[in-house]
Amino acid sequence: MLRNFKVLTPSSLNEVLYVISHIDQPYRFLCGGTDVLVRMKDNPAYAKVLVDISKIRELAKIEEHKSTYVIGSGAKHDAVLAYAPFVEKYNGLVEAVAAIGSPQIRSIGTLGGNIGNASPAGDSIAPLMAFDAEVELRSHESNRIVKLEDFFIGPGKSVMKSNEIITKIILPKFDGLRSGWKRLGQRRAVTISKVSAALAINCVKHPNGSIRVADVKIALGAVAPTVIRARKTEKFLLETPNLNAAAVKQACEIACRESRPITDIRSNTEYRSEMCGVLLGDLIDRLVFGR
Amino acid sequence: MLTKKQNLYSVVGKKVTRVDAHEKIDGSAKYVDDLAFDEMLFAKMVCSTIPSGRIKKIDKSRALKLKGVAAVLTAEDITGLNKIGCVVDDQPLLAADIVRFTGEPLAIVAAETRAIAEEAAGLVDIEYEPLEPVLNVDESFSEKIKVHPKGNTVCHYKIRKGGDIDDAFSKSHAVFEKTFTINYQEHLYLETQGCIALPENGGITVYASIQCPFYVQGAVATALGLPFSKVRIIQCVVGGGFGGKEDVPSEYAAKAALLAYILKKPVKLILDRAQDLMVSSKRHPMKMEYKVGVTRKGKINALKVRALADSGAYTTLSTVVLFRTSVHFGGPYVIPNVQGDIIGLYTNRVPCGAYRGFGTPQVIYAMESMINIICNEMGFDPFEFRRNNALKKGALSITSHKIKESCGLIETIDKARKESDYDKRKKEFDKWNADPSKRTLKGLGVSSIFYGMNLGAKGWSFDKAGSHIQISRDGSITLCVGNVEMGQGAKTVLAQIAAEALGCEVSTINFTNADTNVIPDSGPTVASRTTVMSGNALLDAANKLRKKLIDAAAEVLKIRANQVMAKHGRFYNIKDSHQFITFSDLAQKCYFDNIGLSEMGFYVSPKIEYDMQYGQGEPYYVYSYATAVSEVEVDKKTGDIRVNKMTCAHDVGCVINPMLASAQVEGGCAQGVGYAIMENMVSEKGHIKTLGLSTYVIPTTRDFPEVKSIFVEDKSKDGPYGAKGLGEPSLMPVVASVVNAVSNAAGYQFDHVPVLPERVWEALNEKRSRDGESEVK
Amino acid sequence: MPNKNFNSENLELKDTLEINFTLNSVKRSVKVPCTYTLLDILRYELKFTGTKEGCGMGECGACTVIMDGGVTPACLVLATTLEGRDIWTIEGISAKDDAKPIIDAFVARTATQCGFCTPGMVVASYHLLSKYVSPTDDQILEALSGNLCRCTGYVKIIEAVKAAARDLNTVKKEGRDA
Repeated sequence: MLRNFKVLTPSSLNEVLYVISHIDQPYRFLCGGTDVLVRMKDNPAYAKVLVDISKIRELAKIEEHKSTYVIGSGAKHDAVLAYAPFVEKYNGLVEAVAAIGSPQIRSIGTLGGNIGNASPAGDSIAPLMAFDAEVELRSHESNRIVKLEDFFIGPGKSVMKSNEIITKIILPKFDGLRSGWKRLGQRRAVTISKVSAALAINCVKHPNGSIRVADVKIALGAVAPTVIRARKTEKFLLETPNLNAAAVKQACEIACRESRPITDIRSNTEYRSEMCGVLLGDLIDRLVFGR
Repeated sequence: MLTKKQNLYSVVGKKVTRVDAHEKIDGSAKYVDDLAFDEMLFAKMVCSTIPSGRIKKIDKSRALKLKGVAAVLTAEDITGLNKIGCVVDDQPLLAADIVRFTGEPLAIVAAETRAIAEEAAGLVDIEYEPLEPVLNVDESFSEKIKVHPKGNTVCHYKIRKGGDIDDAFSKSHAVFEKTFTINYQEHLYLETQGCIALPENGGITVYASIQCPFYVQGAVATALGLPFSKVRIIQCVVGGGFGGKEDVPSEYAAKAALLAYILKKPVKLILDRAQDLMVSSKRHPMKMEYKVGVTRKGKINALKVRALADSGAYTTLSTVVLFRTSVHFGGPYVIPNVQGDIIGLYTNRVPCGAYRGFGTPQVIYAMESMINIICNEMGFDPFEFRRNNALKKGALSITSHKIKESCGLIETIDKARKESDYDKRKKEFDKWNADPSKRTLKGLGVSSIFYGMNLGAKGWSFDKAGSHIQISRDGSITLCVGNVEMGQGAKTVLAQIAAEALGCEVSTINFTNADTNVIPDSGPTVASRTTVMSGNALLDAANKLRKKLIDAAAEVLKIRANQVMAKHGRFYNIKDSHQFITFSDLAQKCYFDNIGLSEMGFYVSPKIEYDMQYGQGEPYYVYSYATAVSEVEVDKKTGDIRVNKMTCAHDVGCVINPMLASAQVEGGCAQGVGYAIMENMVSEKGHIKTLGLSTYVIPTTRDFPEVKSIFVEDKSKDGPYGAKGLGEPSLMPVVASVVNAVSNAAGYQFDHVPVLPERVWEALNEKRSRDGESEVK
Repeated sequence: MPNKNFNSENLELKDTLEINFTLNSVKRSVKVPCTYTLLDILRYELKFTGTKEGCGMGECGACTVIMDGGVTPACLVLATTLEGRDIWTIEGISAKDDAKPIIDAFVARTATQCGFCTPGMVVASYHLLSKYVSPTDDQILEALSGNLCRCTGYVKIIEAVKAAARDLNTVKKEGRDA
């Protein structure tokens, strides 16, 4: 049972920014509660104060801008799944968010929470990172935009300062990218990923039948202290004159080497590393070759 | 068969809906945590944080200073005896000098709220002198470190049958050897352990989620130093047991009772999930060395088994669990030469005890894996091989028990083969697996089992059951039995048995939950014994009432008693169904004629003879049998396993309720599939790491196969309407058949359970590099 | 006061809260410790014990309720976030006319054993069937994936949901025809 904390209930973003710049106790944000309350039940010392941001409406919006989509950090997973442009164009994101927790978790959990929690296994992070998403961090004094790729510094750790809050996730618009996400878990539903991969790719088919990769973005989850971009694999694919079976195989091998997984209660280093390649291969098969 | 029975019986064999369905479905059923009493306090256990050590100091002062804390009790506060061992006296209620596993309770806190109790538990400061722990059976067997002063052997069962075993192997055409290991399984009942103790009438009343009210009564009386008659145990609706609420709830009830007795206030103790996972008993991990000798014609000629079971820090039920292991390790087969050594060993890990199947799914997995190896290596058909070695009437089991009746094993083998469409599927799968373009491999696996009914030779003295039936003047009926409804459907099946005998409608029957003040000691609700034991006890009472009712009806109808037929709430003239009196009218007549319509019933399990020294004789009076066939699909690249279908044929003697019987089979399959390929309790240095439902994972809707259940009804003369038990057999063949299917798909016999994708992937890689096969397409 | 638009009360640390919400269509006001979850409020404060605690960590589904139209684990809804919400629990849902086919189907198909997961299962099923009149098999499996059951193997539960869907469709069709 939860115990020994107090709550703050700011009603506007300004109030939130004010309280977090003045608070002198360890605090955590409470929005969906699906992560923070679980941690507090495990460890009552996790926070002395919860700042309830669940009623800050401006944080829950999803909006389309000229060259971006802006997702409020308080947008629920279900809201992301119901947003038509994502369903149409950001398949990788939708697949990942649809696999977070259970229907119960998705109806209250938020995208900002999934990011702020900074778990290397956070399922929404890999596709967002692959899509070059950024987060807006605001404090009472300042406002900064950080690339998601630069946001995480370790398991549960990010560059976010104690007087900052994630307000938005900014998702650039793309043309021609097909995307997907895949994971392996301990079971088929309601599971924490042992390894996950997000791929966004655009290929051009040459009249001679060869396939060139015009654009590619890959992120891997649960195989390093943070979700990572597989930059070397991306570079290899972009430079590949023809994306044939041998090239795909080589790309998958590079992806395996880019991972730095650990052995824990869910899986082991060797398996996780190898599965990066398998998942990437499966995604290329699906998105490029329609298999 | 069913048609014949449908004609024969009016209620037995029918798809009667559960008598407790509505209250469970609309949320009105009261589980123990749903009850509250005035001035009730909340308790929390303080548990050891190390696997082995001497307790140097327990400092309660910080906890007692917390506002709202009523008491912190330790061993010295126990008013009766500080012992809780169910079978052997080796376990304290609260550790006094030494802790022997991480999670062992040392103190118990009571406070005004659950939150305060939890906080206070964290403020009890304990100073230990850590000792080197014993963390596996091999270390324990070496006796280098003793977990208990008397040594590390909890029990050692020997089975010796036939001649010299080495001689028998030398005369075998082929000999196969393999060692298997198997991990824990956690019951994971959805309702965690819990109870409420109330000071009442100078004694204690306990409401609890339990399988065995009479065990709890004994434990509370011992701990408090009270006579049994001052301790009343009332069973609440039980949110799942599976063996986990056999002996274990006694530990919690005795602690809550101690607080209630000393503080003179009601005390509720509900375990949270993490603590439940940490401290409550599990299915025994085992290391099992198997050696099987087979004749050229495919007869099992010799079997040598040595199984080391991790009993954990205390005996709890290990001695009875492992007795069952010793009877079942050879499977349901005729084997002339047998040498078996089943050894329970102490370790500094959580105590292991009862879990659906009671020490048998582990050895069945090993034995049935051996048969799979034999069939694959020697080219035998898996069904023919099992059939060829199967127990049948007149045959001797590995304990030389001559099977006299009710043995439908061969029929289960034949039906499982036919209903699973095995031969056709096998061809399809062989073709599929030969196609390198396929991403998956498919496999079929078979397993047969037998399972001794009731408590058997080791527990015969506990193998009795009482019942009470009361017919009110309006004809409505109240039943009480000493075994409990824990989800398995006991109330419904027992109501059907009583209704059949009384000639009433099931809808007129109500149950009083088990209550030690109402019903005689009926032994535990375990061993798949409730239908048989409480069913027979109810028949005993019902038959006495039936005679009174029929005599009264004969008088009213002015016919002879043997001309009266009772059915569906009416007593007819057998020759003229228009001439009848209703059950309620008859009850009213009896009331005014001062004919008492209240009877106790009692039943004792058939007496059996068994020699413990050599493990020979009749360990159980009769057996249930089953054969299961699994279909699985394995991903070549990830090792991911999908169980697609299970076909299970069970000989249960008589199906009392087809809908509830298939529900048992489906539920057993779910637990078996989880055990086989998913549920992995990780323990490091004596600490369980998987203390939540996101780390100890069980199957969800998306992980569960299609299940086809088939019933064989070879009646048992001692069962009510011929019935035998099904609760545990439903789970037992599942693990072995799933692992055999995965092994057959992967071409590698897996020697550790659970079989996880990581291991399958590794095995497939090894096989590929061995076979020099190129990359998977 | 740093800003005239700020509500000073919002900036104070609170350890008890007065919460107003709707429970099974009845307006409720409770004063509870801020550490209480919706599950604590239901079970301890209001004695609505149909909603069960199986893990307290949002991992089992036994405490599933409907909050503002979504299936929600009551154990992870903290009192402060409950203000103004619309909550339906098993007690309210099982009394509704449109839940009757579900209740009946669960009874008829014996889709309960120990029953501890059952209220959550019924709530999740009700939510599914109010969203989709004729759910596909996949939608049923997904909708119930967050509700663990250790007894049934889900077979009879899934059968019951399918039967309830058929029944609900018949009722609706008959309603239209009449």
